[in-house]
Amino acid sequence: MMQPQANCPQCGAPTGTGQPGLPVVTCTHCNALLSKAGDELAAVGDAGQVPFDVSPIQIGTRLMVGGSRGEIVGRERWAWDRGFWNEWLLQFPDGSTKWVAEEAGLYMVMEEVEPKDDEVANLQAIDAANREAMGQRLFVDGTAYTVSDVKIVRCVAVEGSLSHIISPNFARESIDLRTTSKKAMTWQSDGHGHSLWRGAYYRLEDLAPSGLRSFEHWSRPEFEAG
Amino acid sequence: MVTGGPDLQNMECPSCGGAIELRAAGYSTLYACQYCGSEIDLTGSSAKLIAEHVEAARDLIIPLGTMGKVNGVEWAVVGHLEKSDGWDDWQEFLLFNPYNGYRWLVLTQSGWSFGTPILSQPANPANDTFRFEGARMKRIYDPAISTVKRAIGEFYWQVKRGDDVRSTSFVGGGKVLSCELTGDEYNWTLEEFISSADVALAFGVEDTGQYPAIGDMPSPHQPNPHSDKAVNAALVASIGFVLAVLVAVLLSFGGEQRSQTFTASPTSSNRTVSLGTFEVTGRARPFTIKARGEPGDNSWMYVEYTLTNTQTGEEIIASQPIEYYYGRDWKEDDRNGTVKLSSVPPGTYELTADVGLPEDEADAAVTASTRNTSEWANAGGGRPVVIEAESNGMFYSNLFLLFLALFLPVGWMFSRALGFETARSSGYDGHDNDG
Repeated sequence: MMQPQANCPQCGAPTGTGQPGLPVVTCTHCNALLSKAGDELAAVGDAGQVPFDVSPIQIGTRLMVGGSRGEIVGRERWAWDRGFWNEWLLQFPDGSTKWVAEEAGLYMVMEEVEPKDDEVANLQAIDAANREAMGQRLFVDGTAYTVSDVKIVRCVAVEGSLSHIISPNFARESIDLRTTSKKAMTWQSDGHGHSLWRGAYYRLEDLAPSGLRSFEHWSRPEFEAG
Repeated sequence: MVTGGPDLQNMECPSCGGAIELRAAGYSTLYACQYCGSEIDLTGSSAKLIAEHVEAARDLIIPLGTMGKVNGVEWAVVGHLEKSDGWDDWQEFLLFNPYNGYRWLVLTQSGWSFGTPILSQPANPANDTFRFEGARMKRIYDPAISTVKRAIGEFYWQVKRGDDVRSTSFVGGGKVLSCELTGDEYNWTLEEFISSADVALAFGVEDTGQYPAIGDMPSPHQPNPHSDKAVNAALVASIGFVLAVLVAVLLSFGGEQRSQTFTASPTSSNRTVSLGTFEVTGRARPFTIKARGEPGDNSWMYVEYTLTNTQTGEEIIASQPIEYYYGRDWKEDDRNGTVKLSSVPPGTYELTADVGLPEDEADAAVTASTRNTSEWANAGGGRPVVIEAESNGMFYSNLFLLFLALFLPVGWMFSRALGFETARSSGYDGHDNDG
């Protein structure tokens, strides 16, 4: 969809004001991180430069999740000490959003949930145990989740429309848990608080994608939706 | 110097200056130079040399950058690992497609596997058995340390030569599930068998061969070629045998059956009975005569058959002893007997039966002793004989020979199939892998 144009308060170049309902957008020229108040843009920091990658997803790619088709409107690039991944922001027609974490060719579609008190206690215990917690099991709503990953993560760069201002390079503790089916859960905590994300793993083909990025040496996949 | 391209990221090896093309930019976190083996960290904003090696480039069975189509999807070979667990060495080729992610091609001593990383955690890898997609998975390799001997190309994790990985494997439903505990993660991979010929065709490389051409034992998921053959052969043999039985039954139709019950009296000299005439039509046919008689205890009798061609007068003669002897702890019961004439030429035949008794013998002593112990003889009565004759009888012995001829090779094939499985499980950890 055509976005209204405004001038970037940092570099003065015309830039999109992003998606309605999302309070943050990046300048397409100078990578300034811009906060929106109505149609007014205010520079709140540097969005950083998202490095070149061969992700098949781009802003504008549409994905089907849970029977509803949404559009990718923004991305955060995250890193840890031995790797990195993309968090794509997927916005649905009703304005709701989900995050699509892309790493090693797999996609974890997550939405934030409000953790119960006992879950918070259990997850904080796992957090404290750090790597010792690998393989531990946690029951949430009768489903057994196994701790599969414990690491410190930081945001490297962002682009497009976003739901919150993220301070680049701010470190967070991240715990990934998986089930014997494809469900997944991520617990993130830092000095400001914690959040719990729940969702499931998918392959790209499971998300009936359209508007995928093209590559010179690769033919587009047969599973791409028209 | 790093430059972005439409698909490829180009750079130079900071050690040897060799030209590097990254095919999975943004996913790859480490590159091991294909020319000198030096390891370059890609996680930072600039490529950083982390270990310098000076070694000659080696020819890989599938060179880096080679494209190949497997199951309808095109893959690029982006990485190559040489691994060892102290017993065996094997190679792993990392495949990449931006739309489909990563897969593995694994070459062991015995053949190839196509590995797909799976999204779920199928089980606790400490379990010895579990169910996965309907199949019962059973542990075949206990958790063991495998070591990366050499890594070349680009990888989505920080692999280095000397890295130790703890892994364990399970087999079930013709598939292998392997689980690696790398750093902070359990990584499960579903390994499906792919033939060496299919690998060669897909990537345009030479066929490496597979067990039994290479290796000491089949891969855990290599289809048993003998079991397929044996099952097919068993099917063919069964069909053949059923057809043979059907033909034999059909041919046995149109025959005639007669029976006569007759009492042979020692006092009467006329102990001949006629079973009437039989037509043998078309071609030579089998002829079966059964006799069932009561010679008395510890006594005997015999039946002599004469099959006379009523046109030519030609005779076919056969005889059948009927005996019943016993002692305190033994018995010889031959009171039933069958005579088979294998091929009686076409014609009209009359069948007569002559019953002979011990009393006919000249030796009076034998006769006397027999008479003393024989209830029938003591009673001085006749001895009953039932004679049944049938033209076109079935030859069970021929069918039995046919059965052996058909099923002995099948049995041999099954034993080869079993041998394949025995060889396969001999490589597993634990020795009770019979199921």
